[in-house]
Amino acid sequence: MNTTSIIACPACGNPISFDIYGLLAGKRFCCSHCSAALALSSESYGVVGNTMQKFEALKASAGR
Amino acid sequence: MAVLEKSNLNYLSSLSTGNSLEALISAPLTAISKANAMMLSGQAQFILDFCFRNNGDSYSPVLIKMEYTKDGEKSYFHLPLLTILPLNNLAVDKVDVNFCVEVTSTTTHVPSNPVRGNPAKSKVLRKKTRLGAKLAPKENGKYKDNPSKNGISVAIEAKQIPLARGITTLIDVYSKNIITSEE
Repeated sequence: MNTTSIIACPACGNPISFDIYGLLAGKRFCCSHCSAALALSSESYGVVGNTMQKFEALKASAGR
Repeated sequence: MAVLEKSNLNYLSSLSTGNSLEALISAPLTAISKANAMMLSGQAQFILDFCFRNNGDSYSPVLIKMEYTKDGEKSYFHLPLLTILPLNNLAVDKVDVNFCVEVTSTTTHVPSNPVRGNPAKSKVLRKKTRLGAKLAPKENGKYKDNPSKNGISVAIEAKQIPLARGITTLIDVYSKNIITSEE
């Protein structure tokens, strides 16, 4: 299952691929153009983690 | 998806007794389409419930805080939660339905409604053939009868649909308007 998304680098606009589970695991994703490292701020772990839990529950219920 | 409606039960019972070939082929696709619609409506509700805040007469996006480091300097920016969720994964990725059918009957008829033009010519052109068919039974993973001899092999493949244009536009607009800050 593909959980990769793309975001424009805030420094140079180059697309950065990232994985939401990687973000939740504390991983940093680097821009291949300017080497800026992107990560989820510690304040947002709660809301993103909670939303992903609900999202997984929704997918599971759709698959039943 | 697992709930069988009355029409599905009728379809299941018709598999062994015989039905029109169109019905046999279209039923799995209809079921997939219904499942996809259920998932998409669930996804739309999910987006409204978790990615937006209801302000009474309007919705505002739930923002998350991201940080990025460049040349040792740390900066922050806010991003709508919607833009980082892998939303398109809720659609049906790929469906591969394979089955063999045995043609049980063939009927030809001319529809009775009148047509313009040469009646004799149009009668030939309007002739419709209806194939009655039932699923060819399998034995040890192989079809009992040779499908090429007295049946038809049917392979249906459906692939993922893209995200709705509205959502794609929202994500695009949000992604292109990232403003960084020191905190």
